Formats: sequence, structure tokens, C-alpha cells
Amino acid sequence: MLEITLLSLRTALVATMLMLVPALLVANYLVRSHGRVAFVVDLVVSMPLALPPVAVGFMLLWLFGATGPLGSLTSGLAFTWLAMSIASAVVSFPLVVRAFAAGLAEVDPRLVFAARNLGASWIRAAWTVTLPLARRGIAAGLLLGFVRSFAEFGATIVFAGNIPGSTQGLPSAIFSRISAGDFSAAWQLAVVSIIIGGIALAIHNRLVSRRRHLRGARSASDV
Amino acid sequence: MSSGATFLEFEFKLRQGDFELDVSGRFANGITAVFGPSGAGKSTLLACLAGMTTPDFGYLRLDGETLFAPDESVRRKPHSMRSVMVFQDGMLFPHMTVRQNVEYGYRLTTPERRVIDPYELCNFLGIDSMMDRYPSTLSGGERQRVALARGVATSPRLLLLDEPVASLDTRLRNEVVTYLKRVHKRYEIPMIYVSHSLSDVMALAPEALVLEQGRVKSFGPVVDLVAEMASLTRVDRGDIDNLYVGAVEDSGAISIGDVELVARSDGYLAGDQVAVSISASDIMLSLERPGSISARNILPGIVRRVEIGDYAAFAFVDAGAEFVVELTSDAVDALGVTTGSEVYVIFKTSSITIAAG
Repeated sequence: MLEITLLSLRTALVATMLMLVPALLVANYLVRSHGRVAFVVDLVVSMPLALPPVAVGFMLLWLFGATGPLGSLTSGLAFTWLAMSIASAVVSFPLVVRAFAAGLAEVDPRLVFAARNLGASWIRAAWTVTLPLARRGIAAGLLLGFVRSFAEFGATIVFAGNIPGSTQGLPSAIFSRISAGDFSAAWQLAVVSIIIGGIALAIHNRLVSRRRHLRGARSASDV
Repeated sequence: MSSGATFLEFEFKLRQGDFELDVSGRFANGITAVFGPSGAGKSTLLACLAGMTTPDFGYLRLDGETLFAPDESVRRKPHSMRSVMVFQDGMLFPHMTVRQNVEYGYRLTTPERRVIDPYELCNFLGIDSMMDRYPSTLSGGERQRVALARGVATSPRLLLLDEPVASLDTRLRNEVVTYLKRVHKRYEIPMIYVSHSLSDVMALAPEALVLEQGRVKSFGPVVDLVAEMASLTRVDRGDIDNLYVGAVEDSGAISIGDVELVARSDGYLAGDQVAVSISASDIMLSLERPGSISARNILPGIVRRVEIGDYAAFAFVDAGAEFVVELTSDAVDALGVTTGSEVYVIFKTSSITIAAG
């Protein structure tokens, strides 16, 4: 059980790290742009929210499969632990982008310009002004991405399989125990999921409510 | 027009939705005001000068260097323009202390270009006692002084001031205007000062570019603008204030230019610098020295210019300092005031507003 839990934790952590930079770039783009292109980008990255995760997994399998468009670059990626993280990341991506965008939208673009105007390159302005001011939204997005990745099942089982000791995390392990009729083992794994998921979600909710609280206090004291 | 050599030269054409900006200018090395009603394109012009907005056509040359000229494939990035903006509401970084704000641009300035010492500057602007505080704990006037320090600490080639006092009350406004004057005098940084308030413009800049609906309406001496104000109703133009930098004397009087004013200087020490403002409508003119009158300030002077409009008249009087006096055209006729008339400028102690400067 420990092995399965550690695999799930690692999968979710790697998935979260994979999402960080692309989700920041997409979120920043969506916050600052409102044209037709932005509409399409928003639609594409949000699609996993609307699709059955199984369908997402199926598309990843096609995309990275031996005969797929990216197959030649990534031979043997499917049915590995990395495939688990990729599947989780794709499914969680829209949630992370949304949380990041909410954080970034609170940063006054004139503050970022002020930094540029004082001599900061865009990367320095992002690092010293945008990211620190959006840090709660970014932390919330990372936790949300972690929680969603930790719980991912549909896309993962199609793209990474359900190989005990290799690609069997908590969700697919629970599925296997139920299929085998071993309900007490399924329960044990479910309880572990509840504890870890609950803790991460609690931290996330606290961050989000603290942000609302801070914003309220700020407008009240006219700062 | 401009005195001295051209320091800044630009032409911008830009369309943003329904708004069209089509302006050009040649400014000398000093303080130049950009004046006009809101929506005239003042802030857009400043954004173009700072490299924050890219015009559709045009060019920008500063101190002999081309910063923007798409025809010559020159498009300087915003962080290498070295024209620093001071925003209306300061735009201090809220997650940094005053010290970190002031040091932000200074650290990004290459050492050989650092000609201004940031700590000496903070001392000069009277913010050295608040270095470890966060912007949210500062008053509006303090924030603007920190914003000014943050910009000046980069040793910029040009300071762009976007209505830096518009959100402050009269007292603080005078205080910040005074600091701007002192910074200009001490560090000799050319400034472009955007405002819709004639009083600030009068106090700071000898020349103004007037914008209206995205176009240049006029460019010339600021006193000409005061004359134009005589053709506007009070509601349309607002009050015109005379603003001065003064010093508190041992007697408690305040000296501005070559004259001493009788004013309430309680709370200030002898030698303190103060910002002094007197509304043009609070000043009276008399042809003779009045004998028994409660007003304590009676200064002899010579009328330099009289402007009569539809709604008011303004007399510019040199009485040791320059005073703009608002009159009615009837009063001008009755007194027979013209250029060269010898008059007395009269105002009450309570008409003088003083702020730390």
C-alpha cells in the first residue's frame, strides 16, 4: 500500500511541476488578451474539463503512440510512470490555468510596467513583481493541480495502463481491488486517498479564503 | 517658442478605438507641461514617450539619441528607454518596503550611470525615516515622494510625471509640487509634467503643450494659458492658485522671492522650507496704500500684463514675487489698471495656505 501511495504522490507532484510554466504562460496570456485568438486558446486548454477523461487518455494514446504524430519523438512513453503524470497534467491543466489567471488578474498591469520602466527586463519584472503579487493564486493553482492529479483515473488508465508495481496508483489500485471483490483493501486505499486529498484541499481552501479576506480588508481601509 | 537647444523631439500618430492621437513637439531641457482636459490624450502621449504604448507612426529622439523610429527599424524596449514615469497614484510595489522600492530601479541602473545617491535623495525628500515601512502605511503625499525617489534614483534622462498630484488635496499637492521643483533644481533632470490643473503647471513649468482631442492646440508660455482662462467660467476652469516655495524666517514670517509674507507659520521652525499657496481670487489690488485695513499683506508692485476675458480678468503683478490676481473686468476699468500701473497687492493672512515643502 505504501508503494502505491508513494507512486500516486510522485505522479501528482511531477504532473504539477510539468504544468507550472506552461500554465503560467497561458494564464498570463489569457489575462492580458481578449481577442479571437485568446478565445480559441481558452477553449482548447479548457477542453479537458468538458471531455470524459477516458477520451483524453485515448487521444494521448493516439498522439504519443508508435504511429501517432509525436510517436517517433517519444517512443515507449505510453504505459510508463511518466505517462501517468502527463495524463494527469493534461486533465488538471484547465483548473490550474483558471486559478493562476485569477491570481494574475489581481496584479495591476501598471505595476508591471513600472518595473519595466525602471529598467527591469520582462523576466525580471515577472519574477520580482508579477509572481510575488500573484503568489496566493499560484499556490492555490498548484495545490488544485496536485489534488486533481492525485485523483486522476480515466485518462491515466487508458494512457498509462494499470500495471501493478509500475503504473498502478491509488485510483487504479482501488478499481482493481473492487473488480477483484476485495472490498476491505479497496476501503483502506480509499481512506488514504481521503486523508491526502483532504489535507491538500484544506490548504488550498485556506489560501483562497485568506485571499478573499485580504482583499476585503484592503478595500475597507482604502489602501 | 522653446528656449535653448532641442532636447526631446517627437511625432506620434496612433489610433485606439475611436480615439486618435496626432501630436508632435520639440522641447528644451527643462520642465515642460502637457496641459489639457481629460480625454485629450495627455496620458497616451506620456505612454508613447515612455515606450509603454507603441505608436502606429512617428519617431522619438531624446538627447540626440533615436529611441523610436520604425522607418529606421529602431524600437527601444521599455526597460532601456531611461525615461522614468511617476504615476498619479504612485504605483509603488506593495510587497516591498520603501527602501526596496527606491533601490529597485537604482540596482538596475548600470554603475557608471548612477549619478544620484539614493540615500542622499531620500534624505532630501524627507522619506529617510520611513525606509522600512510598506507603501500601505504611507499617506498619499508620502507615497508620491517615495515614487519620485524611486524614479529619480535611476538617474533618468527624463522624468515623465503623469498627474502626480491629481489625487491629493491642496495642501499635499503644494507639498509635492514643491518637492518636484526642488528635485529639478538640485538634480537638473528634464521633466514633462502632465496636468489638468493650471496652478501646478504655473508653479512648475515655463512652457506648456496644450492638447485637445488628441491634437496639439498650442505650445508656448504658460502665462498665455492663464489669459485664456479668463474666457472660461469659474466652473469650467476651477481655481487658479499662486504656488511658491518659501522659507520660514526667525520672525515667523515667510519669505518668497524678494518679499516677506505675514502668515501663520505655527508648527514650523525658522529655516524650514514650506509650500505656499494663495488663490488668485483671494488677492485684491489697490492704487493707493490702504490705511486702516485688517489685511496684513500689502505689497507694492508693478502690473506686467492684464488679460480680460468674457468671465474674468487676470492681472500679473510683480511685487517681489509674481502674483496672478483675479479681478472682474469692471474692476479693471474702474481702477484703470494697465501694463505698467503701480499697484498694491493685498491679501489676508488666512488666505495663505502653507504645507511642508
